Amino acid sequence: STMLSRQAVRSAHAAARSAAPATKAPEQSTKLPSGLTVASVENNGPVAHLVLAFRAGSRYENGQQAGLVHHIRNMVGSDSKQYGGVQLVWSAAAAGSEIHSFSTPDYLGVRLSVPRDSSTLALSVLGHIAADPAFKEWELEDVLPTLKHDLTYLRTSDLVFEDIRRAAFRNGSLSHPLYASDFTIGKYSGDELRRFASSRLVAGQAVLYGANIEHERLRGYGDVHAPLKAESGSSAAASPYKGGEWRREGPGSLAHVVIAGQGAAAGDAAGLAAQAVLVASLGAGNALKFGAPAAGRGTLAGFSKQGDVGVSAFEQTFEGEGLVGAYVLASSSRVAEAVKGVARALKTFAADDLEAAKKRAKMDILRKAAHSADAATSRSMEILAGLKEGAVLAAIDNVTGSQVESAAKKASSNLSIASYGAIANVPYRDQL
Amino acid sequence: MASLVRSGSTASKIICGTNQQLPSNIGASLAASPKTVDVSSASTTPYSMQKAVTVPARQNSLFTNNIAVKGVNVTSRRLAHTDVSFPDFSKYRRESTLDASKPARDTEDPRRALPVAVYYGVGGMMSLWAGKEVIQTMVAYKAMAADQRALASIEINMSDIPEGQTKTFEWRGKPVFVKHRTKAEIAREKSVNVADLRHPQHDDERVQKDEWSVVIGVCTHLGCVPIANSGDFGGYYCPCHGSHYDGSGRIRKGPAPLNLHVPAYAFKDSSIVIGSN
Repeated sequence: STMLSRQAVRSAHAAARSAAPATKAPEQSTKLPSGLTVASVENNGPVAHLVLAFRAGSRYENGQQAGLVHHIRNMVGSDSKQYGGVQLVWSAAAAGSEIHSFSTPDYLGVRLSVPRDSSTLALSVLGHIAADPAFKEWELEDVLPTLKHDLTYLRTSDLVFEDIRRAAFRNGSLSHPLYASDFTIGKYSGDELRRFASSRLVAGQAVLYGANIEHERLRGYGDVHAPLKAESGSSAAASPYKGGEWRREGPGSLAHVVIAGQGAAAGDAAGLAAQAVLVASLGAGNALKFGAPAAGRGTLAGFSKQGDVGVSAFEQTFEGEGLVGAYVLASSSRVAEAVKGVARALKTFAADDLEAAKKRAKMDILRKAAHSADAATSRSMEILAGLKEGAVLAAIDNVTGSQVESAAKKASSNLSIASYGAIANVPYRDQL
Repeated sequence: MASLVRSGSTASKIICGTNQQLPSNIGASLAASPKTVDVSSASTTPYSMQKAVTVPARQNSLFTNNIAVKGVNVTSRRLAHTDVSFPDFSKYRRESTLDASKPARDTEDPRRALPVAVYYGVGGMMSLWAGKEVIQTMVAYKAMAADQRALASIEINMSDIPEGQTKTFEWRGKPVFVKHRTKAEIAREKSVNVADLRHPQHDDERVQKDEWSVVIGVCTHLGCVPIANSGDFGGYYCPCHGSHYDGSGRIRKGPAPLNLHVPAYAFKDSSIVIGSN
């Protein structure tokens, strides 16, 4: 038969090539009367990623509530006001879902990934476990050991990135830690958690984001069924960048050091674009898994070639503030020159090969958006920050060298430093 | 705490305060603090160092760079309850069962002695009793019927029979004469010469109370029923062959060989029970 003749196949290929390239359907977003923002994107994937996130991160704790959000994050999956926790989690799990609760200094949320066909059930479960927690006292007691486990499994980098915020923002709200400490585990009663939840877990401070789910369904749920209070909630207190240092002695022979300066705020697409180009230009080691470290390009890449030192530029952004700088890992003998070198590189930064840096920055953003689960979490937080879809990516094209250099100057003018480990030789802030 | 210290030939007792003679570090507990080793940065090759900084700093996208994540249902938690200690019940167990390596069969007999004793001992006795009840019921079933047995004795009200009269009652299929004797009749019967009688029996042998004479009304000759208050001797007369009995039922004239039979009877309150069993 001539069904699969060579000619037919060739012409089919030609037709496919000349057809319009597959474009990503744009994100659909609705702001509901209750204040809830509902957004969804259709990637035609088999797994729906549903995120319900709130502006309820650790910055919204008051001064005596360090670690409260850690308690709330770990209590996700316990009883809600209307349903039992086991009921909710098991029914979701039986539908094939995976539930993660996350928190950053700004945001607190729950991501639920589920095969598309079971997204109705999963959506209702998500609403109850994320927005309607009951914080029953006996369940809180049972959850406290998980906080201890979290502390046990903290990496050194987690510790030192918490410290850089303490150094940079001093006693502002952005310095509040993501994790409770030994003496604050169990400090908060169910009543305190409920009070925090009733003030922060409201529709006006929330986003319901879904990847691979129909927008109408998501909006219908958010409008009618979601157990969200229709309040607008209050905005965050400002936590301006101050600059400082934090030193912590620790075991081992290596020193972990983070040097950072003021960066771009979360809603500033142009600023974030310039910052992204700056970070790409500074260099961050090889993006590829198992890739040779020497292949990493950038101003800071030279430090790691000497051996015994690892350097990577990093950036973090929060509502109203940001951090940009470098993470240095060095042995005690090399750390002084490495840290001073990094600080000098930041202060004397000159944007060369801007186009390559822009390409790397764009590649970085796109590579990290490849996995829908993390992309859904990230996009939900971008929506809360006020960024349009692909805004930073589009803004990178318009970044100029002077913008990058001024970002570097802004950061290096007031550096903060946080260190952990064998810190005897780590320079102090005024020695940078 | 008071403590006694001996040193050489003297002994002094410290009532309070520390004992200055003991070494100073006795009792100071040396708490060994567990050393935590930062294993993530143990290796110092350029590759590992660079990876150790790149992964935390650049792995996630910008907004998820500083994120703390908790998996809610990503692993299954098997609750092993290894913190629960099973209490020690050895104080309450039998001594023979304390050795866990001995099979239970070896200690079965003494353990089961009491239940076995109760089951077979008490149960056995109860079964024997039950068996006895069953057999007695069966045997009693085959014995005389109760209504029949009820006829084994009759009660006669003494006030029914005035003095001087004789009444006839049926007992066990036979007529019984109950005679309420007057004093003259009693004296006459008692004064009869026993040696002259065919069946020598004094009246005292034949009555319990003198005024009451109870005899079976069957002639000892050939079994006819004599007529009361007739005959030549103030007693009974059998019309079949002409036997005369006196007021005590003894044969005086005629073919009968023996006196009228006196049944077993007893006096109960104001009645005579004939055929007391």
